[in-house]
Amino acid sequence: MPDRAHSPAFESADKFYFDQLRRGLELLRQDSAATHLREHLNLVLANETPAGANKLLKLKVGQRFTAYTLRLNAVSGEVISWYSDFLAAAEGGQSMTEDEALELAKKVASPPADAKPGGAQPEQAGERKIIRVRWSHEHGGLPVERDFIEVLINPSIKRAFACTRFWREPNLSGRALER
Amino acid sequence: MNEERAIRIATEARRAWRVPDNLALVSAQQRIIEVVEPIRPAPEQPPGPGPVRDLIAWIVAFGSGGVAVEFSIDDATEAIVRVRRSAGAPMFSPAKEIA
Repeated sequence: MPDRAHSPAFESADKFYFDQLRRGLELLRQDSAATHLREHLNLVLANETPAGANKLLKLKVGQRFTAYTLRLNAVSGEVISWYSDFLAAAEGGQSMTEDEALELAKKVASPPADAKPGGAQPEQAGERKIIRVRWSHEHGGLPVERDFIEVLINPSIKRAFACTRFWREPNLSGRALER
Repeated sequence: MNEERAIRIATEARRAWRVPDNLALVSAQQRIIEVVEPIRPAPEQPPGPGPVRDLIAWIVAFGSGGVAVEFSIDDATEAIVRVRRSAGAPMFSPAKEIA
């Protein structure tokens, strides 16, 4: 596949295409939707061939159906959180006990030994039932502010669909460091 | 530093930080908190990325009717290292007041 990053022609085509869509939405008085176009559609360069003094581009349009979001620590590269739209919305007709949810969450998050269990709480999220499993952090018997691990489970498919992990080894050396 | 000492430091700081008189002592708890160097107890804007360290602090909170002010006091130095307030709590830092 041609490299879109090195194709000024692709950038022009991409801008032209989205400008057309934006104008179309403005004519339909859907201006606010125009700002979200790139969240749902993207162009992929399929082929680029010379055409006299110009270039002929063949493009494919991709549409996003589900999202998988990942947040990473920019310094350490550690995963801070992930979320799967698809797994959150899936409907499997099953159910889970809170103990089963806790076991699943442990497998997903691997909480450290000093993680303090906060239990598994069934909740209603819109029309869906979810189970939230949470741990807090204690170090030497003291709560570590901001630290927690949280796993969200879709009991109808017995799968986790989100995990957030803010966790640090307290730096009590008195010396500041990048984290 | 014990709880009593932490409460006394926070109480003595109330006037300088303009904590309204109607806010009562709500809690005092020891926690490990993260601070950004250089420490500024109440920056006007959240600190950006930078070197951080942890310290053991006493968190002393005053509040009333959904309004709260919270002082974090370094357990080792007894310095106030962070002041947080809820929306609606009028308060100005001493430095700003002088300026």
